[in-house]
This record gives sequence, structure tokens and C-alpha cells, in this order.
Amino acid sequence: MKGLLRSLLVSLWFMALTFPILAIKISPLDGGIIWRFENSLWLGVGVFLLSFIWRAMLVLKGISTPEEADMAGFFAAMQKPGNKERAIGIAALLCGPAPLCLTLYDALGLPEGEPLPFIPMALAALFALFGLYTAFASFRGRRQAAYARLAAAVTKTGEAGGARTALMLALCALLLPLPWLVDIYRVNILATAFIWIMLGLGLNIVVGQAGLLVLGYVAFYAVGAYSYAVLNAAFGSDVLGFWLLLPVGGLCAALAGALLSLPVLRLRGDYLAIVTLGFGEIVRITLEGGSLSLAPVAWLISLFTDAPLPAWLTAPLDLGGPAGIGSIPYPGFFGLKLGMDDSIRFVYYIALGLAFLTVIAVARLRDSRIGRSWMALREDEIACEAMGVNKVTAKLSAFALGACWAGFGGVLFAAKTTFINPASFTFMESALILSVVVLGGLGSILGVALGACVLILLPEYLRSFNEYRMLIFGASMVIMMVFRPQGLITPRAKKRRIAGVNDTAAGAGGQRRAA
Amino acid sequence: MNIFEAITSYVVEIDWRYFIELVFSGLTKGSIYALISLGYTMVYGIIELINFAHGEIYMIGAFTGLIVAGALGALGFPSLGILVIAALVAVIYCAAYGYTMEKIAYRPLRGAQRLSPLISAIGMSIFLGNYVLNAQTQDFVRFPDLLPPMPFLDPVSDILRPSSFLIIVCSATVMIALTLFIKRTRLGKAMRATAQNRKMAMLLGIDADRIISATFIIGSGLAAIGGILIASHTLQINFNIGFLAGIKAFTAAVLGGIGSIPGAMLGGLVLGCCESFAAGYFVSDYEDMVAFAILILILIFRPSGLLGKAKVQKV
Repeated sequence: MKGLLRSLLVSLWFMALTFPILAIKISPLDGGIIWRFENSLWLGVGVFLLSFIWRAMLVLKGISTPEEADMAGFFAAMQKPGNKERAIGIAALLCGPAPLCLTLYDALGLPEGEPLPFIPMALAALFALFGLYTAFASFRGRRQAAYARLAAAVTKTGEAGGARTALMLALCALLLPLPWLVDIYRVNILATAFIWIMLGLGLNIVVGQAGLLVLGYVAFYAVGAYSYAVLNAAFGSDVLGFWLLLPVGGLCAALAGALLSLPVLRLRGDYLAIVTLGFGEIVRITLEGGSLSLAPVAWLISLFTDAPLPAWLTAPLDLGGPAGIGSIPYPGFFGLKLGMDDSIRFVYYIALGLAFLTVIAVARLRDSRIGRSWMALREDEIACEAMGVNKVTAKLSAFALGACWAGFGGVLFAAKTTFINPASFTFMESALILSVVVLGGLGSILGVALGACVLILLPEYLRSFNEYRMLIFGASMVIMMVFRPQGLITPRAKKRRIAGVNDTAAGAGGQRRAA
Repeated sequence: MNIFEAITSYVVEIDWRYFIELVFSGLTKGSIYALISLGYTMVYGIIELINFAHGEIYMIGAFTGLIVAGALGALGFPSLGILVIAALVAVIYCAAYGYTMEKIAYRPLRGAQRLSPLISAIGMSIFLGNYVLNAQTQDFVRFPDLLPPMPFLDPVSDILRPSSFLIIVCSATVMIALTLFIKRTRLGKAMRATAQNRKMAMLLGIDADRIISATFIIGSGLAAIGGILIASHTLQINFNIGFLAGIKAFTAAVLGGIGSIPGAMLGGLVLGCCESFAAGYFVSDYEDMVAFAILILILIFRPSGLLGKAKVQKV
């Protein structure tokens, strides 16, 4: 009863809090008031329900006690045999079909002739089946046993057929012929998703592995994209084509990362975040300013040599200003001229290959000596220094390597869209990349890859989701930090390490007992 | 020509009227930065968190003011009354937003890893910005011109606009009131004690959670005043104004020494003047860059800021 009252009060509080912004709108035409009371009503109902879930989660996480959350009665009822299972059953019955309903509802609103989003629908259907299975098993009071049976079935197929290889093969069989099976718009989006996997994994090196919160990551992306566009425009595709500029773009971004890391080596987490944010904005404002002068470099060179400097070094580089740079060429394919569709397919394969390479490289880096030092840096900077890890090298390499992938991604992005402008490189993009990393799980490669796919593909397939995308990401960042700071998928190394600790502890205990 | 003559000729060459105009425009902007940066600095002083969503509170203040003003205007209130009521409502609402935000996004994270509250704050900032974007509009909205005529400003009307005058006077008053509040009242003393040493303050019977809530409420109220004032100065707002203002106000807080209240005020004014001079004497395209350049330089060369005390990090 007390809990109900509290939820009611919370919902009234939020209705009052959001009243002016949610329920009133001043008409821009005549200055009249437009009332939108239905918004407030929906919000009230939503908050009323969410308040229960929020408080229950707080109790489950051990942040507050059942009494503090006014949910003592609820948790006492859950203690009675069977009640908990029944509650889980009802929740599974309600939540399981929800995504399926959403995708179906969305499919109804699609314009004529659009292909149905089969993959999300299949995934949603799978989720719904799982929900039904859980509900069924819970009502019979055999949920644990049912899960165990499901897990056993999965492991059995996994062991029997070399599931990893089979999964990889299936993935290749799906992804390789895909550009010829779906329309070119979808191919484009998939290529974007691969670029985002690279971005996410690159940022994951800096934030997830080395624990340095960087909020201006998009600046490195911009450096990569602009170095391709500008150098290509200045020299022409015959001299500096895509394949030569891909490593150059990565290198430029890595250089920018190293440059940024030098002044911020001494800064701690939160200051570092703000300075990198400032760096990102400086890069964007420079791009909007329209030209970049290499005069200081020219001056430096002129100190050492009297030879006349080339024109591109003395004249300011044209960055296009707010309008950006257009007609950037697609990647060349052994000198052949490809049509637009084929070019995009080609970009898709390059993006796929690079994303694949990134996954391998990042996984190898994580298990390398430098990866270990990043992890040590993340866990405790002072202890890490005391153990003889060179902090400067570790931070510098984390910045440079993380930025390098953004540079590759930027070159690919410029080649894919053939047009770039500063509006593509705002703080919102940085925040999006960060939310990929945070939602996927800081430090987890699989999680980040999945997060990138979800973040890019979901808005494309679920149109009703698109409008509220950033709203949901913002809210989920808060929720993740409160309830699950390690991300949806916990990094592998952590699991292994905890198991190791437990083993040695048990071993030591055993020995003591034996002695 | 000796050096003295050179200097005098230069001084004579300076367009003093233009210079004073720039000072006034710098003080106008700087007062707003100071009002917002007080919220950053007070929160940082107590829980060592950069409250990223603080800029959004300022934006919400401006929007609430706009909506209230619009509604009252449609009902036919006099313009000065509208401004006062809109400001009051905005302050109350923003204080409530600040309180709620702390309860949802920061309180459950007390004692969590250092990065967690920061990411939570960034999420909150994105959420609030997009909440206003979705609930209202993404375009710039016109803010009604509510200021009464100020005839006594006529002689200097070309260098000091009435809205600038209002901003400078209002924020000076608010800052003096805040200083007195912090120095004299019981709550102010408790806040200072909590900022100095939270554990010790708790041992002396201060309810730290209540103090933290009070800090968020006061900081958000100040940001709301800033939002209303800037809206009546620029006469147009959109959902995105909080981002840049927030970063600049943070720069001001760092410049003055984060955690120090007089530092935040000084930092805001200095930053505003720097920006104004940079825009007036150099290129105006890069005006926004000044703040970031100052931020990076100050963090490299004097991380404790102008008035802050250097802290020794203990292991």
C-alpha cells in the first residue's frame, strides 16, 4: 500500500516537473497556447509503472533495502514458494512478445513496395519464443531446470560440431554474398555499421581497455576523412588514391591522437574527458573555418633548407568550410571504373574486411604486453606505475592506436559518402560512439561489435524508434551505469580472471586444510 | 621617436569607445558564464563530479521561461510582470530538475568507480537535450522582448544595451547574495564543511545527502537565472544552447579554480572578456575556440586555476 502511494507521488512529481515543457507548446505562428495534456497523462502512467521497477532494481542491486524502497511487502511475498516463479512467468509473458509487436506495428506503417525487415522480425520472434518458454517453465515451477536443459542443448551442439567454426562459416556465408542479395541502400547501411564497429573498437581501446574517457573521438574520425578528401583533391587520384591514403589517414589520426595525448598525460579522468571534448570542438571549428595553414610547418622546414617549398605547403589548405568537400572519388578497383552500385558494394567489402581486421588486431592487442599495461593503467594508475609500467608509453600508445582506427574509419566514410562536411563530426557523434562502447560493455570486443550493429541498424529497421533514438541512448547510459556498469556483455578476461582467483583461493584453502 | 611617444601614440590610437563596448559585451557574457559555472564548481567541490548535464539545466531554464512567458503573454499580463514570474517559475522548476537528476543519476552511484558517474552525467545531458528537442522543437524559438525601456541608459545606448545592463546588475546581485548565503547561514556553513571534508562533516551531524541535494538545487537555480537572462538578451533559444554554454562555464570554473566560488565568478568574467576581445580585435569566426584554448592551456600550466589551491594527491 505504502509502495503504491509512493509510486503515485513519484508519478505526480514527474508530471508536475515536465508539465511546462511536455504539455504546453507556444505556437510559433500566432503565439497561441497549444495544450497537450495527453502527453502528461502518458508520462504519469509510464512513470508510475517504472517507479516500481526502478525501486525493485535498486533493492536487487543492494543500493537500498526493501524497507527504504517501500517494497517490504513485495519482497516478503516473493519469499513465499512459487510466487517468485509466478512473477517471472508473468513478466516473461508480457515482455517476450513486446519486440515482435513493435516490429509488426512498424511493418504496417512501411510504404508500399518496401521489403519487410525480416531479420529483426526473426530475432524478435526468437525472443518471443524464449519468453514463452520461460513463462511456461516458470508456471510449472521448473525454470532453473528448463534453463539448464537449454544451456546443455546449446553446449552439446557447440561441442559436437565445432560451433565456433560453424558460426564463423555461417557468418561468412551470410555476409559475403549479401551485397548482391539486398538493395544498394541496405548495403550502404551495412557498410556504415562496419565502419561503426571499427570506431567502437577503436574507442574501446582508449576508454574500455586503458580507462581514459575520451569525448572528442570524432575529431580523429574527421582527421581521417578530411585527410583523404583534401589530399585527394590536391593531388588527384592518380598520385594519391584511396589505397595510399587509407594508411596515410590512419597515420594522420594516430599523429593527432599522440599530439593530443602529450598535453593531457597528467590529467585525471574527468579533466581528460573535458579537454578531449574541447579538442574535438577545436577540430570541428577549424573545419568550419574553411582553411588550414601549414605555414608553421613551412617555416620550420625553411629553417633547415633553402630549397623553394612546394606550393601546397605554403598556400593554405582548402577545407571547404561549412559546405564541406564534395565529389570525393570512390576507392579504385585495380584501375577499373566501377558504376555507383558496384562501388558501394566494393566499399562494403573493404569495410567488412577492415572491420574483421580490427576485431583480430584489437583482440591481439588486448592480450599483448601493451594491452596488459593498459588494463593495469585502467585499474590503478599509481599501482601501475609502481609496478614498472611506463605510464607515458601506455597512454600515448592507447591514444595513438585508438585514434588510428578512427582515421581508417574516416577515410572509408569519406570514400563511401563521397561528400563530407563538419556537420558529420559533431559532439553527438562522439556521444554515439561512446554509447556503443558503454552499452556493449567497456572492454568487451563482442559487446562493442553488437552494440555498433544495434545502434546503426535498429533505427533503420525500426522507424518508430528513430525519432527517440538519442533520448533512449541517453537514458540507457544512465541506467547502465546505475545497474550494470560493466555493460551488457562482460569482457572475457574478467570472467577468466575471477575464475582464476577463485581457483587459487580454493587451492590455497585446500592446502591449508591438508597441512 | 622615443618609446614614450610610441606608447602614447598607440594609446591615443585606441578607440576607447569600442574598447568599453567590448568590455561590456564581455562582462555580459561573462556574468552568464559565471552564473552557470557556480553550479559546476559547487557540485565539484562537494562530490568531485563534473555535472555534465548542468548546461542542459540552463537550457531548460530558458525554455521554461519562454513557455511561461508565452502562456502569460497570451493571457495578457504586463511585460515586466511576465519577466519576473517567468524567472521565478524557471528557477523553481530548474531547482526541481536538479534535485531529481541528482536522485536518479548520481545518488545510486555514490562510491562507484570514477568513470561511472561521469558517463551517467553525459547520458543525462543527452537525455535532457533530446527530451526538450522531442517535446518542443528543434528550431530556434523567438523569446518575447519583455524588458521595460530604460531611459537613463540612452546616452550610452550604443555601447550598453538594456539587456546587458540587466544581466550585469542581476548576476552581480545574485552572486553577492550567494556569497553572503555561503558565508553567513547555517546551510552555507554546512556546505563549506561538507566540501572540506565530507566524512568529518558527517561525524559532526551534518546530513551529507541533504547538503548535496541543496547544492544541486542552488546550482540549478543559478543556471536557470542565467538561462532566463540570456534568453532575454539574445531573444532566441533552441535545445542546443546548453551544450556550448555548459562547456564554456566549465572552462570558467576551471579557470577560476574548480571548487572555489569566488574563483568561478572571476573565471566567468575573465573568460567572457577574453572571448569578447578575441572576437572584437581578431577573427570572430574562431570566438568559440578561445574558451577551449584557455581550457587546455590552464589545465596544462596551472590545473589549480587562478584562485584554487593545489591539492596533493595522496596514495
